[in-house]
Amino acid sequence: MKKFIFALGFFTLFIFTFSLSSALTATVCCEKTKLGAFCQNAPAEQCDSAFQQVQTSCDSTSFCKAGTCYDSSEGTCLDNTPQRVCNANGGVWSAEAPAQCNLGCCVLGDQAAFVSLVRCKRLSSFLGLQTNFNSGIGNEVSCIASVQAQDKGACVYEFEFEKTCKFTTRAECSASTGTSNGTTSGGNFYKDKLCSAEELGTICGPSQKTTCAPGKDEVYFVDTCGNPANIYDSSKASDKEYWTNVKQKSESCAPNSANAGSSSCGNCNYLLGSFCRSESASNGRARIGNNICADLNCVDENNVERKHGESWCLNDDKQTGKAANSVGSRFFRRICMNGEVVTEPCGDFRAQECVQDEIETSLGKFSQSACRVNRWQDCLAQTEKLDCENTDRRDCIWKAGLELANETINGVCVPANTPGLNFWNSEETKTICGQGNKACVVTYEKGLFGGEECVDNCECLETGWEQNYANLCSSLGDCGPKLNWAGSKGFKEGYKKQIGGEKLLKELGLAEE
Amino acid sequence: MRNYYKHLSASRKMKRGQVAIFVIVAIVLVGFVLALFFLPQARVLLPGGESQDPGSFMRSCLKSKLEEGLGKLAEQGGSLNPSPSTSYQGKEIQYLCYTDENYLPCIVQKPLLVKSFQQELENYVRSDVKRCVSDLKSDYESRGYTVSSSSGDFNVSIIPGRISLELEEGITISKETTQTFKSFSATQSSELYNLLLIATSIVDFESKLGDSETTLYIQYYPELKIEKMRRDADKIYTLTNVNSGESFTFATRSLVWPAGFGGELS
Repeated sequence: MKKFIFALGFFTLFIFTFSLSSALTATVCCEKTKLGAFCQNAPAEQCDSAFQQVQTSCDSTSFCKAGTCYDSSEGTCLDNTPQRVCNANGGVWSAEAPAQCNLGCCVLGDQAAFVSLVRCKRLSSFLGLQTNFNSGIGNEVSCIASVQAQDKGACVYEFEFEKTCKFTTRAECSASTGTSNGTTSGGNFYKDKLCSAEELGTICGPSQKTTCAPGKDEVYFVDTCGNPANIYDSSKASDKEYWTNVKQKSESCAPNSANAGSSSCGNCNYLLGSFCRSESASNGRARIGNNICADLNCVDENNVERKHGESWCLNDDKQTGKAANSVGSRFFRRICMNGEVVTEPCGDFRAQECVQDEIETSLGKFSQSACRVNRWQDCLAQTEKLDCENTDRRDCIWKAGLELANETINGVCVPANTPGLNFWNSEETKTICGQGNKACVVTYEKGLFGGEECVDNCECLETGWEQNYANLCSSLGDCGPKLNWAGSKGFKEGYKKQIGGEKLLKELGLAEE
Repeated sequence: MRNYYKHLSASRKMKRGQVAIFVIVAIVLVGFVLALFFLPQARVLLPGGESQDPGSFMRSCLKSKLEEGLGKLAEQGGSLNPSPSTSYQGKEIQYLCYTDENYLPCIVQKPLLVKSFQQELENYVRSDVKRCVSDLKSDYESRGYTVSSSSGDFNVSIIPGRISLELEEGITISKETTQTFKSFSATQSSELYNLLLIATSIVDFESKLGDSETTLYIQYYPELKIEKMRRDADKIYTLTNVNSGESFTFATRSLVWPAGFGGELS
């Protein structure tokens, strides 16, 4: 049987045509741009003519070279600052971090900060303390640990013919306790005693007031001299012993609970989600005093309880990671912060995606999330499933049984979360979406007695073929037939199907040589 | 009988003594009342009719402008005329770190934020400081006082827990007595200092890594709320002290990932 084969038609699924354009403009280093930004690599016409411009990168210039900017009044250092910007703002610039930026341990009463010497002096002056700086301590953890080991207690001294007291550290007591309350010389130190202890015979006594102490989670009683006493416990407001000796957190009321909103116990725990706040800044009322353990935990959009500091993902799309994101959809990160859920959008155009994981803690699961870059850019270049799904390198998924253009591979690697595109005003979008153009040459065999039979690429005639390739096109980005994040269809179909012969293929640039 | 006269005489003497005491007390009282009305008092009559001493007058006059300036600057990233800036919710917000390019971390634009904020605040209140001094002078002069002043400078300092304005303006007010004021000050309790330092730290992260992790800060600052809004290539940060309600808003443009491959100029 003599067979003659001829092409009857070309079944072409056509989405977008594309053209490639690139705009490469030579840039110079502008000391200042017309928009007011310092040290920008920008086209010459964007530079402010009153300032310098050099035909090189800003990193190569002397005036815009990045270095360390030292603030001599605050004692702080900021890296990565251009010389011009630092000097113009009154800082001292140097290419390398100067010695003034070396950090050490600054002891501030019973608190500590890992800062530079000048910063330590500044912080000490704010608190009316003598500078106590130890450059030998090389990290923040050791610095904080060094002050936690200090003895604390009542420092009794004479002031204006009265025996008064300050609750402080042994070191601060034996030195001068500062001038903020008029003390001029060292006092007698009574370790683990409160200033309200009767046996000390000072003018300080119990009161019905509470306070939030700096750097502490808990609500504290305050004595009549203004010193913090033990953790607030309404049942012990009149207990002499409780106003005499220092009680540790574990010896105070409900130590293993957050005590959020408790009117009687001020043993707050930041890690459990409570912190000392004034009644006006929280929703509770204390039996004594005006401070309470405020509840910092939250309830999320699904009525799930979230702990303070916990974060999780929320997305416009019901399904993510399936190469089927809607136009305009975005990833969001939600954070429980101080009893309030704060929403933090990830990068627009799905340039970022939200990732989430949970860790097991003694108090249950703790969710953490982050916005990170969507690594979709080289998905289409992958021809092997293994490479495509290598999550160390990229964020792609493999679509088996499909092929792009005329490549003969058994699948297509597409972005797991399709990138958003500036499709209403971009030639580049045509380039990206154009990769979904598909030509299928269907071959028919004419019978000897008339009629014709499909012999090659006959699957292109099946109903699902067109839909599969329309979906593949949608997987490339904001291409093809898609809904937006609100569920509305676009004004156009999103793709075109054309049936024609070789002429059409040539027109579309899909004809094989 | 002799005893009776003696008693009568003593009684009369006592009565005379009492009268003398009453007279003295009355004279003192009248003198005090007259002094209260007629002695020159260094007081300023406010529009509401309430009088204030010059120190209080200057404090209240400067404080309101200080509060106003603080609010305005805090919502614009610490600049009166932000540049470079981005528009957000109808306000121009200063970029504290900015790059025009894609895929690169930003360049710090305001490295000494506390100092810069202080200077901007000084600029904002400058004209009103002069006006307050002028108002004080004219008020006293209109009431017959002689006022002389030696104009001095003023400065704003932002420190933990407060913001203060110190005016080194020597003013002497004379009528029958003379009062001299060497300086005036207005203090506003504020947690802005810490917010500015946190903003500087965020800028440090943005310039090095292109982004910042907001939950990191709430570990260290329990009273802090950070809102990070991404819009196009900009990030708008709003730092709020949940206790005082004060906030500071600023913008960054760093490590921008454009739509698509970024092959086109936006």
